[in-house]
Amino acid sequence: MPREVPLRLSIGAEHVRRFADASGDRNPLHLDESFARQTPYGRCIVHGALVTIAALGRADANALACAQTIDIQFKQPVFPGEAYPVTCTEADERTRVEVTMAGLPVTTIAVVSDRGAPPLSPASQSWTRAHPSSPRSYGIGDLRDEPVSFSVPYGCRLDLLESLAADLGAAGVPTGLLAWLSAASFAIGMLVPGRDAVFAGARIAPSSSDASGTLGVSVTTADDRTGLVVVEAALRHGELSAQMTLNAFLRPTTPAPDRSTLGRHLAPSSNLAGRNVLVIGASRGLGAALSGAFAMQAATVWAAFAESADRAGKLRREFGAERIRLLQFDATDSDQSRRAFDKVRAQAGGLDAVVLCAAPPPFETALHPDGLPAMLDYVSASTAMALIPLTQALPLLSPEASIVVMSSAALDEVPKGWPHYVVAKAALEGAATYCAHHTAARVLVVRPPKMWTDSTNTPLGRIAAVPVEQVAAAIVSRIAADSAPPGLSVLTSEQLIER
Amino acid sequence: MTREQIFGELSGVFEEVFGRPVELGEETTADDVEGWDSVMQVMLIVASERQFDVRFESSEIANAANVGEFVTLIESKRG
Repeated sequence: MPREVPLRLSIGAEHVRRFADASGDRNPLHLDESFARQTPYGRCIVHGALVTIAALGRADANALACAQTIDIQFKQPVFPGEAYPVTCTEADERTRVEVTMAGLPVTTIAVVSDRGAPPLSPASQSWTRAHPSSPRSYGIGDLRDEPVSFSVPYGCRLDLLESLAADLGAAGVPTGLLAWLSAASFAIGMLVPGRDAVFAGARIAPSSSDASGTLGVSVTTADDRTGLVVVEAALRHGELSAQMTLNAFLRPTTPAPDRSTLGRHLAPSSNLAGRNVLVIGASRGLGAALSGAFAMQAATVWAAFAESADRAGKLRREFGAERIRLLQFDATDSDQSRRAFDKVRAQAGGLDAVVLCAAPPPFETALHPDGLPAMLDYVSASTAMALIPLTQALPLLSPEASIVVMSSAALDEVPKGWPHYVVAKAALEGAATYCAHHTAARVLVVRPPKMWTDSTNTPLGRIAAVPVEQVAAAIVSRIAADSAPPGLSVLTSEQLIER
Repeated sequence: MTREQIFGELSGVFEEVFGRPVELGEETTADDVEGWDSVMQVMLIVASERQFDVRFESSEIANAANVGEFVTLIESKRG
């Protein structure tokens, strides 16, 4: 009879560091918050292989001990410290383990066992090799144009992996399986595609080899439209050997707007000379494009950002220090916001426009009790990023100044997996309506279509995404035309694209 | 290659990608098949291109509404 075991797993940041030490997979997506912030996840995620180990702790150890194949799919990220339900179903020789969030699959694992086969190797001696401290880095063009196939010495700390597994309630996971998952993680995160990889799935089967401590990788697919990379990997280490097909996505770098890319949509002018514009969320994506577009119309841009100082510095170099004034503060922190606006008041006197462009990165979820805490956090953070700076800006606004509120076309064509995003954007439109009724400002609500930003930099997210420069040009042209009456107006997705 | 033959070979592609047999009909959509998400969509497209020796445009990757439309697209690519 199938056996169902409902449980939860939670993996902390310390577990992630221990797995990185034991496996050698030090990909910055798992360890470096500033790197992870510029990915669609917005923060560090747990190694998929570590999630698999913890989840397999819920399966029957005897079935795992005679595993013949393991199929894993990493569908959504697992964040450190959050609790995820795990279900385990066992029937005949098949074990299926599923990690979920808000009722949606996060990681699925299918194990086919053969109880007549000899069991996987019991505990073995660790075999270690010096691991590199930073990953290799390939672009999709490198992998598409030249065959990439090589082998490296590889070893992992089985003792550390075993104690880590035990701490996660997975002491029953065979040592051989820990070695396979460790090697798979290293192959994708450190070898190929390396730094910009997102591990999507694996099919692993035991093999045999007389070799000792090598890991061979060979790229068989590199798809330049979606970033899909398929790697055949072979762990060769006696009885712990395994053959693996590993799927990953390579994340290209999101292009930063510059004078040339903006110039395709907006001619430089001095239409906004003498105007002071403050952009919240100015270092990346649409905020950066808007800052550049306002600067190209000769406005003085107060470019507010929280974290990405490197991107903000690049923005200022591109559009000129005389036009771009950087303001680094956390828009969700009232004290930091007040101090930043005190500086604007002292240096600029007032503001002619404030653009509320910052938003937390969205994620896949559902209207489900398990998803509510993250959903409420998202709506709260999104609203705070707009309302805290807005309340500081209101006393500084000149007569007939503009308030620009970044909503989304998601309010017209509602994506199934983003209920939190739709609620958050609707709340911002509510704030815009209030301001239109009870301030003298011109309030512009913008509903951009899907754009290529760090938040949408996913395999299908990039397809049919509109350049941020096109949207920014339409918004700045509307502000520069100065034709809107006080009150509320809306720039729809269609209006933004038709220009 | 007839439409029926394309359906037959496509079933093999789905089985390879999903690791299990998947029942396909003209009207089958991603919502009907457990686990058919955006990642699996990409895997299916790339595996189908290899199977049928065709290449899809970026805009075609996310657009087919159901399996029947996808088969029609493969037919048109093969000419």
